[in-house]
Amino acid sequence: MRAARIAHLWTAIGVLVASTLVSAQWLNYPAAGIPRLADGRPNLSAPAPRSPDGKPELSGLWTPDRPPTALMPESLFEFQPGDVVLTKEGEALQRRRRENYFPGAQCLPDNLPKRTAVDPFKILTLKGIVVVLYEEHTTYRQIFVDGRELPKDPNPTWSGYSVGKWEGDTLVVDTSGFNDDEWILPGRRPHSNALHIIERFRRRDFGHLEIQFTVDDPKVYTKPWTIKQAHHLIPDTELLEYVCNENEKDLKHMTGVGK
Amino acid sequence: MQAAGIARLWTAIAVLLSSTLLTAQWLNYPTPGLARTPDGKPDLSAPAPRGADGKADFSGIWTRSALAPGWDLRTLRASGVFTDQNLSYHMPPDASIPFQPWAEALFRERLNRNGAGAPSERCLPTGVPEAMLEPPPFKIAQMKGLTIILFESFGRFRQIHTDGRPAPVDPNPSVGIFNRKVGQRHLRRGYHGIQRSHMARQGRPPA
Repeated sequence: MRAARIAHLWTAIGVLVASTLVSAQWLNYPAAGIPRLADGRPNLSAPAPRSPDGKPELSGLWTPDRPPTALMPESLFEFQPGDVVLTKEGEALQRRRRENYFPGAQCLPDNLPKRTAVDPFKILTLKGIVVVLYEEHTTYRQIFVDGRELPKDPNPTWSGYSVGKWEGDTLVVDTSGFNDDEWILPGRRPHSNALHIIERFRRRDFGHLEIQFTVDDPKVYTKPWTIKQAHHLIPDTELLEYVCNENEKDLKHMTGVGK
Repeated sequence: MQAAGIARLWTAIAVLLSSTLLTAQWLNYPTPGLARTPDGKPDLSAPAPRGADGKADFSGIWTRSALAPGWDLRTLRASGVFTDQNLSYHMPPDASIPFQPWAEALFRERLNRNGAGAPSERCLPTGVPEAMLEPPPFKIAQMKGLTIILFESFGRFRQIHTDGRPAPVDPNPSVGIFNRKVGQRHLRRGYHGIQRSHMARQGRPPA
């Protein structure tokens, strides 16, 4: 009996040591500068911090409120399907795209609303630039808030070109210069190279961030439409690496790459 | 003749206009806060800037120098070397690398097949330091407690924590731990925190 008890004790010590190792990982590293409740838990309802210039400080590690378990992409987004009205050109494009086109299957980047719809992302504010680090594809995006204008004749890209300015406590980001190779989720909705996305970032309190996307693409939609996302801060953890092509075994089974 | 002259004039105007459009792109947007010589050119020999804490500030967009002193690209090319991304060419020519025998064997094997089979063939990302030896530039942004590197190559980033945290003790956790601690978040494989990728082209395996 005694030997069995000692064995139990060793097991308990082993478990304790293992949990110490786990807590030493960055997935659980306590973040500095987070307001806390009396019991040590982060106080996500504390007021939003402000940067020295008086603007809300958007920095932090954020994740969407909606759990990334839904299989239906539509349910990840807050939007009004009735607001999304395709032009004739848009309808034709959507028909073609829905038949046989999925850039994500080839590890190509996602559109902006989707990038923040499932995985965590980190916002960092620097002088003149807001940087967004996306866990999805371990990629980043720069939003210039130094007063520059959008490029007039940009080389089209997956992420576009972004400039931001403050309207009160809201950071308004204008992005254009997209290629026409992507969908806008929800619903595999196409866009053209005329796409403009206006994002409105608002940090309601310490632990809550809202992003509203206005999708404006007159070639594809008869009027602009909006998507809303609600996010919360995830304290005391870090972004993980995400390499889509790792251990890739699917490409050879795919048929068709039509647009 | 006069018509041809006018056509040429219009061509000239069109060329001028298009070059104005080009300068409106961010590829040529003047960087604020850069030390400049009297003629407006960037002064790359000015003293390194320092942050508020007195430490050197590495912030900026950087690109590699071609080769370390003592190496000559033409000589290398003449000897059949197809890339200058090998770590060796960024080290002094008389430097040697204290390989473990198994690692040297792997290195030789990779060298003999001219780097064929490298992870980048499958669009897998380059590691450290290869990511900084590639021709595309990278941007360093330095903040309190964190320095980030934004790589043009693969559009990837890297975070360097300078807030005093210790290196993770067990950076390759099991599926069980991930599931319990972070729910739906992705599990990615690592090897001592570094993927088992080549460290540099024709490269050396990470320990």
